[in-house]
This record gives sequence, structure tokens and C-alpha cells, in this order.
Amino acid sequence: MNRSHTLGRIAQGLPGIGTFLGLWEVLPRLGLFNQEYLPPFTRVVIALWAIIINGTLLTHVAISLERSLGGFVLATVVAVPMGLLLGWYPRVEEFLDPLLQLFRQTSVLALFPVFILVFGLGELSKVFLIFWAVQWPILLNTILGVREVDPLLLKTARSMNVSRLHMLTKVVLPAAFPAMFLGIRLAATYSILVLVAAEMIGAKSGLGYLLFESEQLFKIPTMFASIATMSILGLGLNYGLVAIGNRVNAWKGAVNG
Amino acid sequence: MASTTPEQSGTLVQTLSQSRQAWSENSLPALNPLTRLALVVAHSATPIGAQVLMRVRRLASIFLFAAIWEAIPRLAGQFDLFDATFIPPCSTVVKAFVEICLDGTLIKHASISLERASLGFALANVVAIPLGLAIGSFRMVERFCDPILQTFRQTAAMALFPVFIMLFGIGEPSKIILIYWGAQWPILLSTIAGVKAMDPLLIKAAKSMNVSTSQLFRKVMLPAAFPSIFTGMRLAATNSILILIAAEMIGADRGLGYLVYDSQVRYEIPLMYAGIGSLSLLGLAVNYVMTAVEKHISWDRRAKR
Repeated sequence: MNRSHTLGRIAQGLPGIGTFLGLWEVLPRLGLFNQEYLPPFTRVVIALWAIIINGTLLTHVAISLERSLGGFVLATVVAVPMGLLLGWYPRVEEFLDPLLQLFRQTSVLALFPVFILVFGLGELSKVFLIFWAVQWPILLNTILGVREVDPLLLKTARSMNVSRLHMLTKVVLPAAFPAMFLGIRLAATYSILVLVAAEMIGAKSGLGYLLFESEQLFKIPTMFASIATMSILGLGLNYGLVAIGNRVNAWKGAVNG
Repeated sequence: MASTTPEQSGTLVQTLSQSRQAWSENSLPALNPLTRLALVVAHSATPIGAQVLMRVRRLASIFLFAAIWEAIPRLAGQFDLFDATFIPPCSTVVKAFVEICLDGTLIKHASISLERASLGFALANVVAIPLGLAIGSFRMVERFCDPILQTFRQTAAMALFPVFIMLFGIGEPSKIILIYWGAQWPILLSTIAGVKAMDPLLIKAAKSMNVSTSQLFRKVMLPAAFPSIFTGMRLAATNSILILIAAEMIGADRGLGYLVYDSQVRYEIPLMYAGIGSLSLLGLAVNYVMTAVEKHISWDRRAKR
């Protein structure tokens, strides 16, 4: 039933997408936009096909995904336990709150030069950049999630004399999971934005670099092809995460995507 | 103190509590000026002192961080742990910050950054809120547009920067439009969500009172969707600063993002940290202003922080 619902939603969306692509194809051809700057849709598809065939796209996508995944895993490993800790001990959170607020407001991209200086121009600085960007939504949402765990659950567990570790892993973690997962989803969208910018500013590979390079070389259809790839990647990531969230959270009712 | 007022017969605490009540009603009892002054001081001194103490305690982690930041590079310099040129001590950075504050560099860069960010953000509000109200109120239109909106939202704004440069040149318009683009999606989507989640009874009631369409939009839907719209606006504000920085790092010759990038390239490390610090302050200020505006405007008193 769920699947047919999803299919229904996709079918309802088709006319919208179709109109958009049609306009994209027709308007430049009619001369309303300069074809050099905004090539019609079909030319972008041809360019996309070309970079798929010769493997360029795959290399760049693989590198981008690797960076983003590395940063993501690192952020989850650091931010989730930290968030559980800070959520569980309000005193500690109160103490650290101003610092957290300050760091959260410090834009990642502003820190990119620092990461380059400290970690060098290689992969490490980019992975760290993603890590930094992604950890704040995860951390803050985890704290929030732990805060809002139903006290009844805690009291029940306590009355059953569970150990501290069990309390954290079996009660608090599952109860805080929806909020945590929301943070992870927010972080995913965010990480793509940051990754693209980082790869445009200082990289020799990755989707952002492909975009930047094709602009410099004035290969405009390729440029649009890489932009489209990024959007598709972002959409896929978002829907993938929603699906995972729904599966893990099945006992609690669906998440709206 | 010679005058005998009824208050003076009780203990000081009683006097205080009585006159505090009067104080809150904005009418001090008829006391002689000296007693009045003493009472005012007694009232205000405790809370102010406590407030200052609380502030200091609240900011303790910041001070601790600054102290560690000060100590580690110095220790590293002493014991050759790592190269301290990349992480200068806090005081050096503060000195650089004060310097750019005084010689006008900061104002120059910050004002141009603020101008870009606020123009783009304002444009996004002007376009996205009416559009969102319109799209949200027609179910068919919403279904038709949703996939495109989702796709555009996932298109990282930075990826479109080259396109905007080609279309609008390398001047100010391309940056402003980039910020507009990045800021409009959260506003648009949350406006649509706000309209969709609206109590239909409100619209029916308004319609039964025969209001015009424009009145329906302005007087009913806008206020009802406001809490949701504002969530989008706050996201958009954060987003626009991020995009601003990236745009200024990639293609600009002024602005705070440029300041950070340029000082890194020229290896003026303390200046770079000062630039980063001012960007954080800008972010904090924007967040603060948005929170304050939300509290001020929102008619929905249940609205959260």
C-alpha cells in the first residue's frame, strides 16, 4: 500500500516535471535565452551521457561521495554520543551552551582556510569540513531528542532497575532516534551544499570541481550536466534517508518526506 | 529618616516586599527621597548583581575556551609541539580584530557583505511568501509544483553560481541573486506547509463574512501561516550567510568572505581568524535579530523560541 502511495505521488508530479523540462527545451531554442549560456535540455542530456560513458562522472561522483561519507560517519560517531551525554546531563549542556551556539554560527566555509592550513590541501581538510558542517545539526537535534524523551519511559525503566548503560542504549537512544534522524537528514542536505562549495574553492576532483572546471573551459552543457547530477544526488540522498528513517521508526509511525 | 511612615514599623524584608509591590505598580509610597533612593538601590542592586553573575557564569565556557586557545599555542611554541603560526593565541587574534575595527577595514567589508545578504534575503521574502501563499492555497497547483520545488531545493545554490555569473555578470547582481535563490526555498516550502496546515475553519469563517481575496491573503492566511513561515525565514537567514561567504570566497574583491580568503592567501593568519570571528558575530547577530523579531511580531503566543 505504501509503495502504491509513493508511485501515486510520483505520477502526480510527472506533469510538473514534464512542463519544466519542456520549457527548458523550448525557450532556449526559441531564442528567448542565449543558447550558449542556457543550452536546451536535450543538449545537457547528451553531455551527461558523454561524461557517463567516458567514466568522468563516475570518478568525480565517487570522490565526492567518499568525502561526504567520511565526514558523515565521523560526525555521527562524534556527535551522537556527545549529544546523548549533553542531553543526559543538563548541567554540562548549560555550561557548554554559549560555546556551542558560537561554533554553530561560525560558518563552515569561513573555517575552510583554517582546515586547509592545519590539515593540508588533501582529502583530510575536506572530510573535516564536512564533519564540522554536519555535526551541529546532529548534535543539537540529539540533545533535543534526549531532552524530550517521555519521562514515563525513564521512570518505568528505572522501576525495573535497569543499568545505566541499558537505560542509555535501550531506552534513551530509541526514544531520541526520530529527532536524531531529523538532524541527520538536515545534515545530509547541508553537507552537499558545503561539499560543492569546498570543491569549487580548493580541489582537483569531485563534482564541484567538475562544475568549476567545465565553467572555466566554457563547456556549458557539461556544467549543467554536473549541476543536474548534484540535484539528483541530493534528492536520492533525501529519499533514501526518509526510507531508512521510516523503516527504523516503523514502530512509531511514518515520517513525512 | 526621621519621618515615620507605616512601612518602617515592620522588618526590612517586609518593607522591601511592600514597596516592591508598589514599585511594580509604578507608584512608590510617600517616603522621603533618601529612603526612596535606598529602596530603589536595594531593589535593583540584587537583581543586577545576580544578573551579572549569571551572565558571567553562563559565558564561563567561552572564557575557558579562550583561555585554552591562548595557552595551547603558547605552550606549543615553548615545547615545539606544532607550528603555532597556523593557530595564533587568542590575544593575537583579538589584537588583529581591534586593528581592523579601528582602521575601518572591517566596516568596509562588513557593510558590503550585509548589503548583499540583506538585499538577497529581502528579495527572497518578497517573492517567496506571496508565491507560497498562492501555491499553498490551491491543491492542484501544489501537487503540480511540488516535484520541481523539491528538485530545486536540492540543487545546491553554490552549483548555480557559475550560471548566475554568466547570466548576470560578475558584479553585485549575480551575488544578490545567488543569495536570493538560496534563501527562497526554505521560505517558499515552509509557507506552503504553513498554508496547508492552516485550520480550514478560519478560511470558511472569513469567506462567510465575504472578505475579498486580497484581504483573505493578508488578514487571514498570512498571520495563520506566520509561525511556519518564520521557521523558513530563520533557516533562510542562516543559509544566506553561508552562501554569502562561499560566493565572496569564489568571486569577489570585497566582503567578509573575501577578507578571510584573501588573508589566508596572503598568509596573514591572525587577520584570517579575526575575519572568521567577525563572521561568527554576524551569524550570532542575525540569529538574535530573527529571534527578537519573531517574539515581537508573532501573534501566536505559543510560538516557541
